[in-house]
Amino acid sequence: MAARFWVGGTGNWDASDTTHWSASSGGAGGASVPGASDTVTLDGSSGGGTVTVTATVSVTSITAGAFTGTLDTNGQSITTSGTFSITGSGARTVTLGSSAISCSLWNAGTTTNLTFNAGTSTITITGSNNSFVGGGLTYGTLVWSSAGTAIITGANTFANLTRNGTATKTDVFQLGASQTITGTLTLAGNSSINRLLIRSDTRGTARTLTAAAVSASNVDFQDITGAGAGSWNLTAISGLSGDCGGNSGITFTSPVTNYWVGGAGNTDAVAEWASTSGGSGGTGRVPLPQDSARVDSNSGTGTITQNMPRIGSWDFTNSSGITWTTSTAASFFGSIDLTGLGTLSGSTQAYTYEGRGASTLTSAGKSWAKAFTIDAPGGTLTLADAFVASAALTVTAGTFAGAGFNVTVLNFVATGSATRAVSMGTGATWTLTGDVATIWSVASSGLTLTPGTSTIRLTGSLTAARTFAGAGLTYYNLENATTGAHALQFTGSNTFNNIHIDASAAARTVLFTAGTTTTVTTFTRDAGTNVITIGSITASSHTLAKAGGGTITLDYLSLSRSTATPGSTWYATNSTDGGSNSGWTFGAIPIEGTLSTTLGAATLLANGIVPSQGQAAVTLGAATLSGAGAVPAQANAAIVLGVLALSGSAAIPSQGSLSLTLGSLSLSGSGSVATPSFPRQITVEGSLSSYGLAGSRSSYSVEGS
Amino acid sequence: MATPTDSVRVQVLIGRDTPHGRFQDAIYLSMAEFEAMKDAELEALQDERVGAWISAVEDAKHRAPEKPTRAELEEARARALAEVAEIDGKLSRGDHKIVSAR
Repeated sequence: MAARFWVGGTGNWDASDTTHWSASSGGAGGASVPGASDTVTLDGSSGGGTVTVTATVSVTSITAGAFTGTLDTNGQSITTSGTFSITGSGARTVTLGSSAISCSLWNAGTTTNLTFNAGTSTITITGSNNSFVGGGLTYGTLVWSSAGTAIITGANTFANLTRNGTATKTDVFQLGASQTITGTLTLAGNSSINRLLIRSDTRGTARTLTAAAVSASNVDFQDITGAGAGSWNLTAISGLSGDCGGNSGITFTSPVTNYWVGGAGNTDAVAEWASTSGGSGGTGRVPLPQDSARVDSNSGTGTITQNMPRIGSWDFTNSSGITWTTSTAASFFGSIDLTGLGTLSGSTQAYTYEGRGASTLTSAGKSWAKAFTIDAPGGTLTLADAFVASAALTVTAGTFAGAGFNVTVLNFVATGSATRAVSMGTGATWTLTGDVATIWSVASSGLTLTPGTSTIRLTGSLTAARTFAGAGLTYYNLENATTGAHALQFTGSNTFNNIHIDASAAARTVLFTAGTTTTVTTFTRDAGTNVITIGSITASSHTLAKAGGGTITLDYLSLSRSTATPGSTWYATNSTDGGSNSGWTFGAIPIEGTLSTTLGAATLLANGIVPSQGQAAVTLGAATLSGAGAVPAQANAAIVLGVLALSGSAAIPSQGSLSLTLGSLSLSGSGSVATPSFPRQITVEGSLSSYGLAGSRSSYSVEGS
Repeated sequence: MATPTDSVRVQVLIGRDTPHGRFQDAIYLSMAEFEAMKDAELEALQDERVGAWISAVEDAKHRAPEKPTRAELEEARARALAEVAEIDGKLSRGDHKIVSAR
């Protein structure tokens, strides 16, 4: 491949004159005339003037956005296997005349200083790039006959616009903006089973096709507004018209229920469909997006293979001996009910709900192998029972209502910014089994997440650090039950009712994003002694905030870069202070409410305390408090201490009707046991010994009976 | 001949505590199926549903996300090309926010 640059200003682009061709921009002429494997550039060093094409041209690409002259294709045929680009800001004129231009990508995205004369030209888009960036210009005829997704951008005007489908089921004509056709708009799917989908580039945002005349066949529409003098009554066009929602100004073929008959077969076989249950094959039709597909007791047995990429609803109720599989990724627009289905195959092609109304999903105990996506602006998919899939669940647009049923998927995604809602339901467990980079991946923009009283449970066997990307939203319970020696990382300043870390099998690591604040009402772990490491993802602190009052005590932690708020709320027992922590109290046992706690032996150093409130019942086998250690007991606390040694200024200040039973009490320094109010009782069943009485600055006291 | 009750379905709710959290599900039966089913059979049906879920959780395979199809890749490529072209256009036109006047 060689690069060729036009130089020398005005001249003819013919098959032999090398005067104007250079191997570099603004270089010397005399290079070979560009051929099919060469790129052509007309730029600011081309010399301006008028470049007139006087021969058929076949090159790899043409780039003329920086040209400062006139490019006149002069009715010649121009073929570029790649891009024909006139985008740019050079003071240029492009005149196409009656040329037939074929390219893989037409790019007129920037029309600054462009004078464009389309004439009666025809631009044909071919090849895999399959895009037309129109720049909002007025064109002659645009023809598109390539397979795949044809993408057009810019609010353009055409004399005629044609999109022909091919003998495939996935051809799409995707509109990035509304288009005006002063002549005929032709939308021609290949056949009734190789249909063409006309859609907006943004699901839920309609694009308008204004056409003086409309010719359509074998075509489905989504988010398209039909306008203009042409007839948009497409009820009876060849191959009928499919309504994928979001359309207006178009009259579609009326929906019907089609009954599967004849046992095994593909869904694109009209002979498998009847207009009545058990009716004659062929009296129905291959279901359109607005249709219902019914499989019942008259459907026979065997495997139904969905090979159409769009289907309305599926209802397998009362069927028997049916296996359902897919051979293509597909979208559905109504409800699915698998009740009665014999076997749901393990086919993994993605399934996307795109309905714009209210639909339900009844899995009837079947497990899906498919990735499920809800991409349904204004639509709602509601679970009728538990949903289990060994792939991702994604909510891109619309509402997914869990309705309180369990959801078990590989991972969950609700990113993007489209309006979408996720209702997790009351008491449901959302189990995420995956070992993927971001197990929970949501973005807050446009998302309404209603956690209900659900639990998000992560169970994957992690092979690397994995992320819960909560996007700063409010959740109910989250449980990290992952395995594997890798961290679970939280991003976002999220709020939880409870975070539970299950380290019963092995140590776990939980890291929070530095600078974020994670708010919890409670934070719990299993009853074991495997160390849970809590820290930040990067070398700066995160914050853990407790909501709802009370305290949080966690055992066997290794803490670092963790700021805990409010003060005197977060306690870490048998734990390691890894540094850069604040707000945590190490070596404390806070007991509140009606909690009943039995401690075998506890050593509380420095400022260790056993604060008990309410109806606490605390039993300590042996406790040693030193420094300013204290057992402040309030209200009706009942504290039984096998052996208590108080030293330094350690104290048991108690209030209310405290019942304090001490197996033996050892006081030293200024250690004290004080019960300032009645009724009060301190019983020392064992020995009472004191040290330091002889010391000049030492004292002890026991008040009460 | 369909009868009105053919369309009536009974929802049997399931709620069980399991080692993997609380399992909540529902079984839908026609009136005829429901009335014909003994309690033990219904219980067995619920047990089967719960057991299947536990198996799904415990046997979950940790596989990489599904690879996109060629058509999906081609569409993504075409979309990217179109977006690049439009962004190029905005850059050339100066359709960008001025963040500093200096």
